Amino acid sequence: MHLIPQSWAHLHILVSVFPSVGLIFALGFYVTALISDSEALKRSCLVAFGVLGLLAIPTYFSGDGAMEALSANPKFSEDMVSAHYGWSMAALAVLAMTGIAAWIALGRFSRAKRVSDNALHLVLGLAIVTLGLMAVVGELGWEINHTELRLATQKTPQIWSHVHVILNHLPTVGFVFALVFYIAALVMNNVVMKRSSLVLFVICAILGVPTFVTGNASMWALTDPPVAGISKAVINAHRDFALYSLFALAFTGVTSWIALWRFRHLGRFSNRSLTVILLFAIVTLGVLAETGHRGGQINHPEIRVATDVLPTDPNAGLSPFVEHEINQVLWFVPWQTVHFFGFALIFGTALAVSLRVLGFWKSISFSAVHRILPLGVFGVVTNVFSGMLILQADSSRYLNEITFVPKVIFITIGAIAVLYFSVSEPLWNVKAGEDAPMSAKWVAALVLLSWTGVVIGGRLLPYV
Amino acid sequence: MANLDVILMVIAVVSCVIGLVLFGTYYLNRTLDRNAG
Repeated sequence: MHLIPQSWAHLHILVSVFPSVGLIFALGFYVTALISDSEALKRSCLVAFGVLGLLAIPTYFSGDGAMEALSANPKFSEDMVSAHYGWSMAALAVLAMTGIAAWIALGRFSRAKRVSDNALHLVLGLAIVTLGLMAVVGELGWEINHTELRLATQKTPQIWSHVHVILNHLPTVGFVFALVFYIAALVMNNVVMKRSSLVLFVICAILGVPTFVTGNASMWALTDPPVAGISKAVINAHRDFALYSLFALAFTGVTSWIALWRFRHLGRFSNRSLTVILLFAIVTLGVLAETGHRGGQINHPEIRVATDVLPTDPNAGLSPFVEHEINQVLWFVPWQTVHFFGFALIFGTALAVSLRVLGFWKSISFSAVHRILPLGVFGVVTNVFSGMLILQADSSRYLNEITFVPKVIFITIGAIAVLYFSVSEPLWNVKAGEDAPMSAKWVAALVLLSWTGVVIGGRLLPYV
Repeated sequence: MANLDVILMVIAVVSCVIGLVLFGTYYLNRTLDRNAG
């Protein structure tokens, strides 16, 4: 991996994802800060917006340099480059305004202990407009290079490749933000920031699942039949690291969730747990960076350098080995059985906790049912691994089944919604005999609906 | 009895995974009680 990009195009690919995809996470932290009225988190977010505003400069110059360097390359359409450039001017201008507004608000913070709501809302509004413009710019930018997205359906439809190109940035860029805010939280010893960063670690781990699945589907869309310039061996090298990323994300996500779960009961974090999470997160970021770099090498010949040695054997590595082994009855049947046990754990736990929130067995406090949540979370981990293994047995068939997409969407929604049970203050305060707030009941209904959808979608896979 | 190895593998894998899940949940709740105490 090149730690320092050696071309404008490479630098542009790396830098530009932060003011675009990264803005989603900065906004997430900012909204959390406004809701929780945490001054430390507000200030940290303003610094983040300020830094993202500064990134407008390298984003512009690297884009300009890449445009000049690649102008003679027939792969890149001049019209598409112009459209991307035009929209990016507007987006970078509003991004710079967001950054300036954030720095001004920070300056006010240093003079007074509080900053006016108007200034904070101005930054929020500008950031939302920037995000909208960045979505257009990003889409136009990806389409410049990813001409394969316009190919006809191969073994799987090209929509998978398109979704993967977008989705893969969420757990990677999100993880960078989570780690930066987490380190800041540890330095400032701020509870709200610690909890927010831990929540983002968990969300990134959950987003790793649809990212991995769409990546698998993209492989078939780009290799069967073969597409000129795309090598299955290079894809497999990326897939191997994607598998390691999934493990690393799971370790960081689960330890983060356990810390959140323990905090709920004890009202404090254990320093040892926080240190372990920090170590996991640093290793995970390294694995994600290498995975992203290998992914970029699949279809960005313009960023390759003379010293790059790309793999050539499509049967080498971990992924082909897993594909071969899981196709043996000796391995497939046990992991499929584990998968069904996992569903039982998840659905049983989600049902018990959700029904209490919805008004069943009110004689028990919410904190009592909260204790059984680890069973469901371990069930999710069990099923992510067993599910990924099962998927490798015949991925193109599973991915083309009509119920697979809803299943993966429901897994993502259901897993993120369960997080609410461990972060909501009003829900935590529901004592024995008390009714849960209406907002919590809606979330409980969403959790039940999602996991019901997952079970039905999974069960229908072989039949419809 | 050709599939005995598959049956044994199912029992082994399921026992290990469910055992880990149950122990993990028990351990987390036990440490919670100790810390709360």
